[in-house]
Amino acid sequence: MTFYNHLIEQAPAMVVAIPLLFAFATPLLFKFSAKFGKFWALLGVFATTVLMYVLAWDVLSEGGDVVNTYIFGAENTQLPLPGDNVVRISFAVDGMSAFMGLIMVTVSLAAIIYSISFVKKYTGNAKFFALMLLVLAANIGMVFTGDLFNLFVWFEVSSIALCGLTVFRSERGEAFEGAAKYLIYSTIAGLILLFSVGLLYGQYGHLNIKFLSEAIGGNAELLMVDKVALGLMMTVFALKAGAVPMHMATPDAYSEAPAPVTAIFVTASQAGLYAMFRMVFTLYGSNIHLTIDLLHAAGWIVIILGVVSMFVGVTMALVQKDIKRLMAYHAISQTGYMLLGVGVGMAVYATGGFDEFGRTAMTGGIFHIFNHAMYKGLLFLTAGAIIYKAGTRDLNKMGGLGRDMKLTALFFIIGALAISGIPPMNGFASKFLIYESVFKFNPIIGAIAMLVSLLTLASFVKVFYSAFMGPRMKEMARGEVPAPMLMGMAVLAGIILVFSMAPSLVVRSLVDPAVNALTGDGGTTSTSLTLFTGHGAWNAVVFMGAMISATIIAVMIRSFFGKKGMTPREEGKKPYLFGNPTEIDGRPIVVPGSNLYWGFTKALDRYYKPVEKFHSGIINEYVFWFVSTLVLVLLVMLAWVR
Amino acid sequence: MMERYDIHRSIPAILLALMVAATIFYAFVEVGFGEPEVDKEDSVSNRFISNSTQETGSSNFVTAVVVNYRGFDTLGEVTVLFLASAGMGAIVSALPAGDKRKRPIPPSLILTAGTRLVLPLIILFGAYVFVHGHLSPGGGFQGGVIIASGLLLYIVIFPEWKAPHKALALSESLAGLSFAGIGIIGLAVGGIFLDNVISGLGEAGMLVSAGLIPLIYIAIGIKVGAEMTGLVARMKGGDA
Repeated sequence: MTFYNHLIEQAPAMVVAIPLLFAFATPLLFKFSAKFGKFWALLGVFATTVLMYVLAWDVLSEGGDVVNTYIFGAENTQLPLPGDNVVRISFAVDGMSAFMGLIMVTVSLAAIIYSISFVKKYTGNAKFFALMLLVLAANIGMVFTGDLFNLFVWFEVSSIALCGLTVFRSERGEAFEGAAKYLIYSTIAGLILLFSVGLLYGQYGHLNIKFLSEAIGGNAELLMVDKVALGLMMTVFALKAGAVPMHMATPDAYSEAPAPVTAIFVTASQAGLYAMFRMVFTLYGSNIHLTIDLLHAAGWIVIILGVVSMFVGVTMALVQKDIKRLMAYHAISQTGYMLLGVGVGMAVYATGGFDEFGRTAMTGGIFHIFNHAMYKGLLFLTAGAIIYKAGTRDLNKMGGLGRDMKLTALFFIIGALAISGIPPMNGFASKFLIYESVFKFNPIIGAIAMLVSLLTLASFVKVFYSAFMGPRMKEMARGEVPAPMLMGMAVLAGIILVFSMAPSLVVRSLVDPAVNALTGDGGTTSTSLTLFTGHGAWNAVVFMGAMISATIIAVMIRSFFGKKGMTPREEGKKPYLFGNPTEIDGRPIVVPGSNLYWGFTKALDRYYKPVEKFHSGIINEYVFWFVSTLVLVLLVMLAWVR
Repeated sequence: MMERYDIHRSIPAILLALMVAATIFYAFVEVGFGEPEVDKEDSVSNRFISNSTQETGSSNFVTAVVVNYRGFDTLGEVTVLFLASAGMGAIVSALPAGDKRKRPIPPSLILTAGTRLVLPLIILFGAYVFVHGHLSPGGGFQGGVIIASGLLLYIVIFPEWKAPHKALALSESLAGLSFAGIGIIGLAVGGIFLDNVISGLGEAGMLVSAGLIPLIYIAIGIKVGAEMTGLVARMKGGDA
C-alpha cells in the first residue's frame, strides 16, 4: 500500500520522465542493434502507458476535481498550491489532465507498435523512435503542467519534434514543404503564446496557473491585459488544434508525415484543444461574476470556429483524391465538433442554460476528443497500411485491396462508421450528446452538425470504394500487412468497440470527471447504463438488440417471400459495379473515386471555387489568415466584453 | 529572378499586423513592463532573490533559477536542442548517397532582404542588453555576442562581404582603452583604480544609475562584439 501511495505521488513526473529518458537513450541503443533499439522504445511507451493508466485510475476514481500536484524540486512534492512553493514549476493533474493523458499514451502505444514494421524500409529509425517518444513526453507535459511558461516549453518541444517526424521521408520534396509550413506556423503561434505568458507574468509576477487564476479573479474589474492575453492564447491554441481558418498547414503536414506520426499528430492537436479549454475555464473561471462576459464571448468565438471548421473541413475532404489529405480534412472537421460542444458549454456557462443543455454539450465535446483520437488514429493507421501495400496515396490509382487485406478493411470499416457517427459506434454516442444539446442552443447549428456527419459518411464511402473494392490493380503488392501493423490497429479498434457498447459507463467514469475538473460543477450526465440528454436517450445494447432482431425478421421475410432462383455472383456480372473482370484495352473498368460525387461538387461550384482558392498553399497567406483571426478575436475581446 | 512586388496586396496584411502589434504594445504599456514599481512584493522574482540561497544552497541566483526552480523548463529546453540535432540527423542521414554539392546555393531574395532587415534590430538588441546590463540579465559579454551573432548571419548570407578588420581592431582597442581609462579616472578622482566614483548618480532601477558600471559594460560590449566578429570573419577564411 505504501508502495502504491509512493507510486501515485511520483507518477505525474514519471509519466513525462520515462519517455524522455527512453527517448534520449534510444539512439544509443540503436547503435548496438536495431532490434534492441525498437524493443527499448516499445518498452518505454509501454511503461509510460501502464503508469499513466494507474495514475488516471487514481485521479478519475476520486471524481476528477481533486488535483494531484507535483512540485518539481520541492522537499514535499505534494504541497497544496498555491502555497509557499508557488515559485516552482508544478504539475497539476486533475480529471481533465488524466483524461487527456490516457488519450496520449493509448494512441502513442498503438502508433509505436505499428511503426516497428512500418518504418523498416527507411533509414534513420533510431531518430524516428526517439522523436516519437519525445512527442509523447511533450504532449503529456502540455496536459499536466500547472505553469504557463512550462506550457510554452512543451508546446515548442511538441511542435519541433513533430516537424522533425514530418520530414522523415526526406526523399520527398513535399515532406520538406509540409514540415516547413508546420514549423513556421507553430513557431509564430509559439511566439504569440510567449507574448501572452509575458503579459500575465508582467502584470501578476507569477506563472503558476492556479495562482494567476486567483489573481485575475481577485481584481475589481477585468484588465485590458487579461482580455488581450486570453485572446492571444485562444487563437494560438485554436491554431494548434487546426481550426479553420488556421488549419492550412494541417493537411500539408498530416498527409506528408508517415502514418503513425499522423496518428500522434492528432493527439498533439488535441493537446492544443485541452490548453484552450484549460485557459478559459481554469485561468479565467475562478471568479465567474467578473469574467462571465469574457467566457461567453470566448464561447461564441469557439462556436464559430467550430462550425466553420466542421463545414469547411468536410466539404474540402469530399473533393480530395489523396487518401491522407482527405483524412486530414476530416480531422479538421471533427475538431469542429469538439470546439462546438465545449463552446456551447462556455457560451452558457454560469447561466440557466448550462444545466439545461450546456453541460451535456460539454460532455459530448470532451467525449468526442477521446473518440476522435481513437478512430482517427485508427483511420490514419489503416491509410498507412493501404499506402504500404498500394504504393500510392492517390485514390484513383488504387483498388481491390479488400481482396487481400481483409483485416485492414475490417478496421477501416470500424473507424469509418465511428467517424461518421453511425449508431452504435462511439462516434455516434458523443455526437448524439452534441446534436441534442446544440439543437436546443441553436437549431441551425444543430442541423449543420448533422449535415456534416452525413457528408463525412459520404466521403468515407468513397475511400472504401476506391481502396478496397473493384478489381486488383496490377502494380500493387499482394497480401496483408505485417503483424505489428495489424496489432497497432487492433489496439485502437478494440477500444472503439468497447467504447461503442458502453458509452454511458465511459461518460460516467472518464468524461464526467474531466468536465467536473474544468467547470467545478460536480454533476453527472448519466447515472444508468443509458445516456440521457433531457430529450433523448441512447443505449447501444438496446439498439444492437433491436438491430439484430430487425435483421432476423428481414431475413425471415426474405426467405419466405423473396424471389427464388438467384444464383450467386450473378449481380456482379454487370460492368461498372464493384469491378468485374471485364476489361477495355487491357484495363479494368472502374469509376475513379474522385468522380463519385461529381454531381454534388459541380452543383456547389460557386462554393468550391473561392474555398479552393483560399487554400492557396502559400505560407505567407496562411500567416495572413492567422493574423486576421487574431485581430478578430482581439476585437471581440476588447470591444465586445465590458 | 526578381518578381514584381505587388504592394497593394500587402496593405491589408501590414494593417492587420500593425493592429496586433499595437494591441500587444498597449497591453505591455498597461502592465508597465520594465518600470521599477511593477515588481510586486510577493512576485516570483523577489522570492528568488530573497530565498534562493537558503532554499537551494546556491549563492548564484541565476543558477538557482535555471537549474533548480525552473530546472524542469531547462530540461525541456535541452530537449529542444536534442530535437534539433535528432531532426537534422534524421533529414541528413536519409539523403541519397553520393549527392555532394560542392558549390553553395546562392541565398534567396528572402534571405538577403530579411537579413538586411533584421541585422539592425539584432545589433540594437545587443546594444540594449549591454546598456541595461546593470538592470536586467545580460551585460557586456552577452550583448557583444548577440551583436557578433548578427554579423555572423550577415557573413553567412553575404559570403563576398569583407569584414573591416582594421575598423574592428580599432574599436577593439578603443573599447579596451576606455575600460582602462575609466579605471584610471577612478584612480585619479577617488584614489583607487576602477573606483566607482559616480555611484551616487541617478536612482537605482533607472537607466542612469550604478555609476560607472553601465559605461564599463558598454566598453565590454563593443570589445566583445568586435572581437567575436573578427574571429568569425577569420574563420571563414580568405584575407586574414
